[in-house]
Amino acid sequence: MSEEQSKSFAQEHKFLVMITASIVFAVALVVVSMRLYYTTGAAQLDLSRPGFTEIREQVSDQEDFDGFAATGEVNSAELSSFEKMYDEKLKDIEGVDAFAGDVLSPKALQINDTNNAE
Amino acid sequence: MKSFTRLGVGIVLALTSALFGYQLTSQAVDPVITDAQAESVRTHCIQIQATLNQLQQSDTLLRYNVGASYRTMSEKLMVPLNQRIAATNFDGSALVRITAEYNKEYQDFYKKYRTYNEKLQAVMKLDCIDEPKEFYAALATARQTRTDVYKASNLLIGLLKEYKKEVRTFQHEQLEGGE
Repeated sequence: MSEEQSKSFAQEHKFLVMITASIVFAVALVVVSMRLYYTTGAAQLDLSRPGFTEIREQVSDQEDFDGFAATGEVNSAELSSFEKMYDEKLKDIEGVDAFAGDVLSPKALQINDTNNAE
Repeated sequence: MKSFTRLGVGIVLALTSALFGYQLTSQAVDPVITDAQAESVRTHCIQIQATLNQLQQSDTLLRYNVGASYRTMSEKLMVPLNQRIAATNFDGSALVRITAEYNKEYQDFYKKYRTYNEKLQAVMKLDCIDEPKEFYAALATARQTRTDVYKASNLLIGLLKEYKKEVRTFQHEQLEGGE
């Protein structure tokens, strides 16, 4: 009896069932994609997130740099040309000194041990 | 016995920081917080949270820019040169080895940054007024992971310098016929 009732309900509300199933399927896909977004680390590099709008413009564009051609002769002149490009980029990288500085130290965050200080 | 262990840890930390030219101003944080420090965390809670938020933003940008530069070095300079040398009869095996090591270390740098970011987020989620001790301990962990990122970054720069040196050796020995 109940099976007949459920069958008739599904048959009578085919459109509603389809919409509900579609929503459930879409939510499941969103959950999977959001999980992938966070577990792969993409979220940590995504500057389009809220709160990162101000720093988005400060992103340096590396696309303009063509690099060294993978085909061609190997001689002193070509290697000198390579070295010039390489040195320029290396100098930029060395100039940043990324993640230096103990910015999370108690001292930097003004977490003072006042008993010791006195 | 404990004092010997602490001394050993202190020596290792000092040597490591000297090796990487990194100055730890107050050495490794003891996750055990004093009452005065707990009070200081509570007092400066909002200020600390604002600093952490700002740090997360600036480090994200830094990671983005530096990561792009690191990848550019490999993808647009090292790999193309290796390919060009591979197409000739010259021996570029040393350059290929350094490039492979560099790419491996880059993945390590990426993982370490992810860990650091996760730890920093964990600190930011804690309530520094109600949970100053947990906050302080989590901060110590995040601080250590940031040091790991710095070391990984320095390792990559070291490999870039090694590659440059090897290019000169290659030029000298194989193109100019030097010994």
